Amino acid sequence: MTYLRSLLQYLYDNRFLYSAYTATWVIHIAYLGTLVRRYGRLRNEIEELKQK
Amino acid sequence: MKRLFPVFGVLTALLLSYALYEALVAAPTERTMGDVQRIFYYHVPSAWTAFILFFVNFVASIVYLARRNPKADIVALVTAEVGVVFCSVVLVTGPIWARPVWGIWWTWDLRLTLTLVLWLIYVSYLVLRKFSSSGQTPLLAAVLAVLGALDVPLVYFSIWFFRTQHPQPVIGGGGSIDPRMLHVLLINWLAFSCFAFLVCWSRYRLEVLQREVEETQALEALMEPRGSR
Repeated sequence: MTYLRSLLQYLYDNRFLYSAYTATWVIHIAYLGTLVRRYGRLRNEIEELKQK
Repeated sequence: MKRLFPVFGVLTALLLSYALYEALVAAPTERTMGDVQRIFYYHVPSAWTAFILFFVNFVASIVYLARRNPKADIVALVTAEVGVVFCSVVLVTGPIWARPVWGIWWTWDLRLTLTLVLWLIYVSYLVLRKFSSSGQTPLLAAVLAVLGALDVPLVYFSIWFFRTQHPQPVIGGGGSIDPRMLHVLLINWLAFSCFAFLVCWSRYRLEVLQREVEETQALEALMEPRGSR
């Protein structure tokens, strides 16, 4: 319990630092997500073209 | 080239993990700002990477204007898109650092404003490319990119020539930096540059594939007998 409290206190004290690092990776992962979605859509279109 | 992609991907992931460890654990704590200064190891490399990507976009746009080379057009599109992502990171991490250090999230300081303008220019470039259906779109986009790139040196040198609230440049400018901090900064820059290269590579392949599919679909539509439509 004490450990958890000190961990939470540590995270609260460094909230700006961890927010910045988290925000960076959220932005990058969101963009990579859009690329994966676009690639999935493109693969479906290629499959449709092959079937024609 | 395709076989190199997973190897380069794994190496980049390892380098990013090492850079994260260096930034959060190994780098010395700054005396006045404390741990919040470590945001610098993500903010500055992201800004440098965005500048490089916009510079490549500028060169590719000039090549496209001179030779109408479709590959140059794809490189310009890809670098603008990934550059906007890195510039977004800069615009998000900057205010998160400014809040505890300056006491405010944002100020209409010259460098901050010019960076926002830079981001808006490249967002408008991407909007133009996405929503304009004219055959002249790559040409118009290339002209916009060449003009937009003029903002990059303005952003970079704004803190050299004008008195702004933004800290002075740590390399080559009036500021100074601990060698261990500089080492961590350069490791992070290398890691983010490799990551940007990897993302551009994937996006380039995706765009080439997309254009091939569109061409095939257009050919199919032309080949179809009129009655079947």
